[in-house]
Parts: sequence; structure tokens; C-alpha cells
Amino acid sequence: METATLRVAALYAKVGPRLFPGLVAAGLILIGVLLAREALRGGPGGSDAPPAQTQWGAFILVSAGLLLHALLIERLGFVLASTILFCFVAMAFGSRRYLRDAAIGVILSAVIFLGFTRGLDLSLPAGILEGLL
Amino acid sequence: METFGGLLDGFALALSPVNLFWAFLGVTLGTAIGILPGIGPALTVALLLPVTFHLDPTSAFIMFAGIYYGAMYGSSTTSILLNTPGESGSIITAIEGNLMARKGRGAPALATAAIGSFIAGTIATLALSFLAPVIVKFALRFGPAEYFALMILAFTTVSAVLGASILRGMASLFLGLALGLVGIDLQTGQARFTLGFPQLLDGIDIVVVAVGLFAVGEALYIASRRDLATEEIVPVRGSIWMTATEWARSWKPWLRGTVIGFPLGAMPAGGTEIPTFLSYLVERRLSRHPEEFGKGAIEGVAGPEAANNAAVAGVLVPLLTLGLPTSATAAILLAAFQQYGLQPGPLLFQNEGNLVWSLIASLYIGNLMLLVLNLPLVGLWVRLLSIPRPLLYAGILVFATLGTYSVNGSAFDLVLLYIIGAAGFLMRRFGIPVAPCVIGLILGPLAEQHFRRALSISQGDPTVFFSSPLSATLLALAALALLGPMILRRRAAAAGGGR
Repeated sequence: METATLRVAALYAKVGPRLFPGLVAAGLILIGVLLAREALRGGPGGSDAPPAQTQWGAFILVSAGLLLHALLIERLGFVLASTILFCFVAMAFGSRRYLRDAAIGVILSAVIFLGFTRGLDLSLPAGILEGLL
Repeated sequence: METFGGLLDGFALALSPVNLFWAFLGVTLGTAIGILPGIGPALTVALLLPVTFHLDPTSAFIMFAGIYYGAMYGSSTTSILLNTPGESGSIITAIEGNLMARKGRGAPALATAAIGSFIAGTIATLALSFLAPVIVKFALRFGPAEYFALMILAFTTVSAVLGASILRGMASLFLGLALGLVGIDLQTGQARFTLGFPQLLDGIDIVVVAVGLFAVGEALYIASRRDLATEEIVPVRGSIWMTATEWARSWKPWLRGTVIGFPLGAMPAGGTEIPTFLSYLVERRLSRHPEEFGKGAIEGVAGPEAANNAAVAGVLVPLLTLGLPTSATAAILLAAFQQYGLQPGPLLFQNEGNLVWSLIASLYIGNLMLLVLNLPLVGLWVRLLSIPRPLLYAGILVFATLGTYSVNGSAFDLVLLYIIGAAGFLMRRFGIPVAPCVIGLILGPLAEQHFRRALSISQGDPTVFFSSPLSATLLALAALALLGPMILRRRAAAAGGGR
């Protein structure tokens, strides 16, 4: 957490000939230093609960789902990309009924797609299902 | 008095069938989404923002009023039955209400929360209607220096109030301020911190940040420690009506909660956390059954819930009259206004009086609708709680990406959403509150504008912030909010060490 704060600060400080960004950068650096000091002193523990075991597998599954979605939404279209995301997240949260998840994912995103494009006039990419929907 | 005229016009607009429909849709969606575990009011409003993109401003804000109040009702239901408060204002409800539910008194707990919310919401909306024009008159005299000082005050109090420590609150706030710097500088037209991405020229949209921090960050956090969290839904049995004793024990806390909640919510320090805690302490002190507190006392639900809803209405006072959001939810509402090219503040009351008054009128209407929706239909809502977690979070993320994508129609925002979500995950893990970040993001650019305007009026003389008595007072208060707790803690530590 401390390093994250400091890295941001250094990045911004370089570009800051203007006053306000300079002030923000100064604030970030100050807070970073104070947080680092607190952590070094072993002051009040950072996390609200001990991070017993982090399930990195689940973390990666959710991340992969989101990034794939960003990559695919304009290629495969909203419905398929969202279905993939749905399945990945459900899996990350421990669901093992893949077919059911996929079915719910398809129905949910198709309903959203139709509701948004027809009902609310918002455009979502149809992708390869262009003719079907 | 102008309040009556304004309100009458507002009701005339809000009571048209079309607008009644939008209000109804707003409260229903607000309740339905607000009740889902893991979704607090701020996220509810952020997720539903795209739904209103194509509405005219009046209808959109009528709907938002409904969503705003609806999400609060939904959150308290979840708190009572699941003990997962969606936002800091319902922490107390979660404690005492969940204990009641475990003792088989979930139904009266829900009822006292709903009726208390209705009464507090109505009284507080009434107070809002009369207080707002007064503050507007006062605020019309504000110059850039006063606005800047006011924002600094909001910054410090918000970071001091929300979260475990001031330092962590400030870290979150400054992160938001830094994110707010991204994009074209409003006064010179220069691009700042865009890292060469043309997509960043317009700045980072608050929907992306709010959804990223609240939905993606939360999903990543819960997924990564899923085994630790075992939840239990307490079933609601029996009549939802309260007994005579329960009425007798509830009505005073409702009123006291309102009296505590509204003024504290309306102050630029804002937030709903302090009033709910305060109300809880007051009720425990005054109760004839203090031994029940901590074991499920109805007063401990009635008071804080009323205080919460009164504060929620109170938060709208600085938002509408000064353009000053003091909660994450209010920050997103402010973003919604900006989307329509409207800047809340004293001028909004003058230029768009109809819109503001119909918004306020629909708060009364929405509140009444919510009471009807929540009392008899609570059993229906509760079923939403039993959605299996994997499907729930999968659905939340589908909606999160949908909301993000439809802001600009760009896949770039989805990548940004993930990055911000990952940052939200880290913040969650290290106990850094996310709300100050959202407020910093939306208020930062405004603060900068006022700051620079004030300086250019004074021709670069920084004493302008101290020469006006009002601005100097506000800045002094801000310093006090920041340093006061630190000094008190030092003192306490010194006294404790001397013993």
C-alpha cells in the first residue's frame, strides 16, 4: 500500500509545474511517508481482518473474466462477452455447474441487450450475433 | 413563501402519470438492487446511471430520487437479515437488527426500520424544503475563495469521518484527487496526465471509478477470501405488524433519530455514520431496557434507521444548494447532474427551479411508495437474498461492465474499470475506505477551478483565502477537523501513559 501511494506520487510530481497537481503530489508523498512510518512502527494493523489465505486462483479467474470481456466485447459482441464473464466469475465463486451458469449468463445478457438497445435506445455491440438479435 | 410555490409546482410536475411511473420504477429498482448483498446505495446509483441516459432531466432526476431512497430501504433489509451492511450508515442497524432477527423478531425489526425510515424521511424532506432556499440565499454571496474553503472543509471532514484512521481516509481522498486531475485542464485546455491515451482526455468518468471500487474491488476481495465468509439468512416469520409495545418503544426513537440525523447530515461535514452511532448511544442511554442493547433491542434499530434516513435527506441540502457532495452516493448524484450539464448550487435553484422542486416533491412521493412497497411486500424482496453467491456476483459484474461500457461506449473504459477495481481490492485489504476517493475525484476538479479563480481575482495573492472572514472560518474548521482528533489522541495517550 505504501509503495503504491509513493509510485503514483513520483509519477505525478514530474509533470507538475502547475500549482494544484503539485499540491496533490505533495499530499500524496506526505501521506505515503506517514503510512510507511506507521507500518514500520507496526502501529495499528492495516487490514481489518488478517488476510488468512488469499485465494489467488479466484482472484485470477475474476481478473481474467474482466479483461477477456474488455477484449472481446467489440469482437464477439455484448451477449457472448458477458456470458464468458458470467461463467468465469461464477466459477471463481465456487460454482461447479458450468452448463447452468452458461445458460443463465446467456439469458441474462440477451435480456439486458434487448432491453437496453430496444427499450432504452442505448447502443451495445451486437458482434457476431448481429443477424440473430 | 417561495417554498410553497416551488413545492406546488414541483408536485404538479412530479404527479403527472409519466413521472409517477419513473418514480415508481426508481424506487422499485433502487430497492431491488439495494437489497442485493454487497451492493450499497452508492453502487446502486452508479449502476443505474446508464438507464437514465436517454431520459429528459426532470424524469431522470425523479427516478434518481426514487433510486436514492429505495437503495437505502433495500440496504437496511439486507443489514437486518444478513448482517452485511451495504454502507457505513447501516452498521448499527446490522448489529442490533440482525440480533433481533436471530431471536425470531426479524419482522418487527424490518417494520420498525421501514416505518422509521418513512417518518424520518418525510420530516427530513420537509426540513430540506424549507432549509434549502435559506441556504441558497446565503450561498449566492459566496465567491470562489469561500467555495474553495468549503470544499477543503468537506475534504477533511469526509476523510476524518469515514474509515478507520484519518491517514487512511486522506490516502483515499488524495488518490481520488489525483485521478480527478486526469484529462483536459478546464481553464487552459491542456491535457494532463493522460499518459498519451486519447481516451483519457475527457478525464476518468466517476461511474468507472465508483463501479470499479465498489463492484469490481468488492468482487475481487470477496472471491479471494470466499471460505472465510459464511453467511446465514435469517428467515422472516410471522406477522410484519408490530405489537403495541413495539410501537410504543419505537416512536420516540424515530423522532429522536430524525432530530439527530437531519442536522448532522445537512452539515458540510456530512455522512450518515456519526448520526447513526450517536442515535444508538442516545437510545441506549434513554432506554428503559438498556440490558437488551447488544441483544436485539428494537430502539437500537428504530433510532439509528431513522437517523440514517434523515441524514440521507440532509445530505441533499449541501448537494443541491452548494453542489457539495458529502457521501459517495451524493458524489455520484452530482455526477448525474453534470451529465445533463447541470451544476448543483445556488444558481440551479434559480435557473432550474422546476427541476429541483420536482426532485424534492418526488422525494415525498417516493418515500410513500417505499413504505407501501416495503411493508407488505418485504417477503418478496427477501427472496432476492437467497440468490446463490456465484450467480449474484457474476450478475453484479455483468451489470458493472454494462454500466461502464455504456458511459462512453468504449472498451478502454473496461480495462480502466479493472485497474481501478484491482486498486479497490488493495484498498479493501489494507483498510483504506473508498468513499473519500470518489468524493475527491468529483470534487477535486471543482475545488481546483475555484482555487485558481480565487487566485486570479486576487492576482496571485494567496492571502485571499484568509482575508474573507467566512473562508478563514471554514479553513480553520477544516484544520480543526484534521488536527483535533490527532491532538486528542495524543493527549489521551499521554494521560494513559502517565497513570
